[in-house]
Amino acid sequence: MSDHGAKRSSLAASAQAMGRGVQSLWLLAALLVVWEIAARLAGSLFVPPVSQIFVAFVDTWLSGSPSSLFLSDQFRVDVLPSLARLGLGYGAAAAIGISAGILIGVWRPAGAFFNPLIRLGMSVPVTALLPIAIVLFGITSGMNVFLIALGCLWPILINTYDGVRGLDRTVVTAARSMRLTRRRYFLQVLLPGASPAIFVGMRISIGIALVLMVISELYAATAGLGFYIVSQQRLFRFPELWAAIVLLALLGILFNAIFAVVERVLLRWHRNVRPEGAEGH
Amino acid sequence: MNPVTIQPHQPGPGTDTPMLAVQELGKSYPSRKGDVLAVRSIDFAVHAGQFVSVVGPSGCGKTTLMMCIAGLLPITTGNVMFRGERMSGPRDGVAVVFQDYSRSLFPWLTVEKNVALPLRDRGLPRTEIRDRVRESLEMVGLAHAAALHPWQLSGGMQQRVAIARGLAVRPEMLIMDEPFASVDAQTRASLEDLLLKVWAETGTTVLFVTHDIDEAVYLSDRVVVLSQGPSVVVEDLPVELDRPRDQIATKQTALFGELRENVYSLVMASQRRTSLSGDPH
Repeated sequence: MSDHGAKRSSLAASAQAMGRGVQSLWLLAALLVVWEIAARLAGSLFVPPVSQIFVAFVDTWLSGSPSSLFLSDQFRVDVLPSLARLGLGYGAAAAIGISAGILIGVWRPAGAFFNPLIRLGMSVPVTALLPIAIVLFGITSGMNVFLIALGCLWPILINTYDGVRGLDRTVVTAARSMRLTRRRYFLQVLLPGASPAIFVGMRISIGIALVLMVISELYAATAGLGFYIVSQQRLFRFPELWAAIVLLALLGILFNAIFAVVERVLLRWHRNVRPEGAEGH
Repeated sequence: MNPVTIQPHQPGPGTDTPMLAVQELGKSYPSRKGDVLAVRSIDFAVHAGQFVSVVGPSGCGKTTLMMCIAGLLPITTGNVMFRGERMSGPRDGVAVVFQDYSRSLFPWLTVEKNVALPLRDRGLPRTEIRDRVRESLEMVGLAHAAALHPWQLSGGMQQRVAIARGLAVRPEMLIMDEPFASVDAQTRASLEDLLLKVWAETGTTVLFVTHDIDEAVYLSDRVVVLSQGPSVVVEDLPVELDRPRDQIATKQTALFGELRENVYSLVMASQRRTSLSGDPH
């Protein structure tokens, strides 16, 4: 099978998985119908019918011109800053977590030395540090970024460390017998070997990043999705509030989908390498 | 030990420094109850171009010995001399083929890139690397599988890739640790014949570690028989069977039967001796 063919078959697999996803959407649809009816009957201000939320969603986020991809000004004002904070915080956590995880994984004394610190850092709920972050950074984007980065750091760090330490001994021995240069060993043995674990850490962290983004913005921000949610609550605009929650859910789904695609392409070998995993060719 | 061994591939007088000389090699592991001796004292030599097998009862430290000889484990006492030089670690000119092909080949690399890996960063031009990879894959009959990943191949094919990777560096000596222990009987026979063909074509010296007595006798110029661990050499037996060898004809000869029986009784005797001495594990 050529490389090209391999890509095509993995795309076909993605399409199949999506087909299965659509099939299971009927439950969601049924739930939304129940919501709609119940909300209309109850007439609660706080839980508006789905149709109202949908209208609010389109008005709030998708009322822009075609030239701005239909994204509204509100989107630019509140969602883009949130995404920037998320990207910066998550990016910093990934950069620091992967580098540090590899370092302490490769260099045993450092691993032993930093282990207690890492365990401690992992066990502190990052949300509890929010007041301190505000004192340190003030109500700035830096505070949000800091909190996101700190929360995402530990899963990436720990999983990278585990991935490096858990590298198969036969793999390491075989590499040693080939006398690879350090650079070559790092790029073609250590990094790919640890990549499934690194990926697990990054996937856990993206969910944490989203939560911390919203929480830190609910608490202290002058723009952003979290800030928008609080302000809508104060204005008693509940369809808009729900529309923001829907947008958050969609962002979560989008991030997961991105991870699924990247995993399919980069870690194809990992899924196939399990016992009797060879595809029929 | 029998000093008068006939060595068909031995170079003429004057150049009688063996390719590999294992001198009083001992290996112990530290443990909580003090050092555990795995290899007591091993002496044998392999001359250029020879095919030498090492057999012994299971648990006699064959793999440990192989790792020590390949420079992949530090030795406790004695010396391993390669072309008269003391070996202190893995070196160019010595390639190792491991038992566990599914883990000694890197699943994230294609067959081609696996085989090319030990050739990298050695100042070889790109075209030279490509030619050598093709040549080694052709030698094991897998030129068509170059673009596949190891997990897309059967076990026997994977071990052929591992052999090709060993051959690609054009080693002076190939060390093989029970390379055919985890494939089925038919595949094993064809891999044995493939190895003999490659050995004859390349003139590479082979040190072949196995627990299979038939295999050792069938393949080798000499069979070194180890005792139960902590191991010593109990016999260094010349195998004067005609070459080329044949799975059926060779194994039907009286000499093959004799040698097989001889090695078998040596292995059994060493096993019995240790179990009678009541050596606790």
